[in-house]
Amino acid sequence: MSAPDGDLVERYLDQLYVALRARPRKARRVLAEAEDHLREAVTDGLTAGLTQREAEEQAVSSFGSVRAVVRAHDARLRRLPTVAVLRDVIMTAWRLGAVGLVAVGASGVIAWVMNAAFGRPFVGGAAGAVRYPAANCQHWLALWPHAQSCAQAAMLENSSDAVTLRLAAGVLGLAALAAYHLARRRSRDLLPESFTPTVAMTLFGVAGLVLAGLSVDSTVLGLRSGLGTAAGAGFYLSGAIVALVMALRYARDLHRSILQQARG
Amino acid sequence: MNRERLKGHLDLLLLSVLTAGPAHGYSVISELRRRSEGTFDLPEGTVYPALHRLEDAGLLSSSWATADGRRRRVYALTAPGAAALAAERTEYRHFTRGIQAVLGWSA
Repeated sequence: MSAPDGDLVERYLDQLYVALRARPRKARRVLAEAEDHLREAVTDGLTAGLTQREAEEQAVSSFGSVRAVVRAHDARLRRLPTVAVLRDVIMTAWRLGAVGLVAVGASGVIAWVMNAAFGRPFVGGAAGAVRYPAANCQHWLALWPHAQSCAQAAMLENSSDAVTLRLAAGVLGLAALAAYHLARRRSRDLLPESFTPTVAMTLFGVAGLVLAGLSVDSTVLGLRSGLGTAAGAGFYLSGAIVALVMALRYARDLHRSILQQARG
Repeated sequence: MNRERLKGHLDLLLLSVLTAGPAHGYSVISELRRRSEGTFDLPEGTVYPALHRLEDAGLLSSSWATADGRRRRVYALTAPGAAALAAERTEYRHFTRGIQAVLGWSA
């Protein structure tokens, strides 16, 4: 609906609405404050004996040109404290790093389940002929005295590491998350709400696809070399499952934040 | 008064006006004009970004209220804002004393 021709305040607010370069919530606030200010100024002008037209002209004139008001708001946005933005970015990286470590821990649990369900070669096996350094073989055979070959000891070590090292990473991630929540202060939300889910969805999505690709590659190599599923596909698959679940979770968060933004 | 010079002191002036109690933008700006006897004559719409900036810095808080069927944002001085105002006042007093001394005016 267009503004009545004679209403200078409405016309001014329309121009301000078009010119404002701000997020929806911010723009609505600026417009609401401007309208309240202008209406009250008009009322004061009428009380002082001005005509409606004169009161509107005076109110709009005193408020300042649309250009000046928009420039003042833009200048404020340009002055966003760099340190605060940097702090938000660091805090976000900390949080995502901690979540990533917890995800690695979760993949360790899946690797443990895979070890139990499909056998250790599914997680710790290697496709094709692999030559191991003698020193490594000696170390692994000492750790796995029941192993009948260096390759078997390497497989057992690999399948074990896929669980223990990842679980250790998960514990570290939980500690980092706890520290993050302790360190986090009430931020001013300088970064867009969609920032974290966008970055996280991308990182987890790419990681998930790469790991899934490696898992398929291991499976194909295993089938070609006659090892079947004993070529270590589970090593990557356990990580791919968690990474893709996390990517979907952040995609849902991103969708929600986009909807919220659209609603203002 | 030169607008650029006024902008340098706007934060102090806005915080000072809000020591009287919570107020909405129009009231803050009217009070600023009244107290300065018309000396401080900024485009009123350009004062709101300063209020928003002070709120972002935690020196003011704000909340929506309704008056005459319209939503309005009411600003209030926070404890950090009161502390910042006291510090700014002291600093400004020293500054003006220095200026007055140099200009040869009695304080």
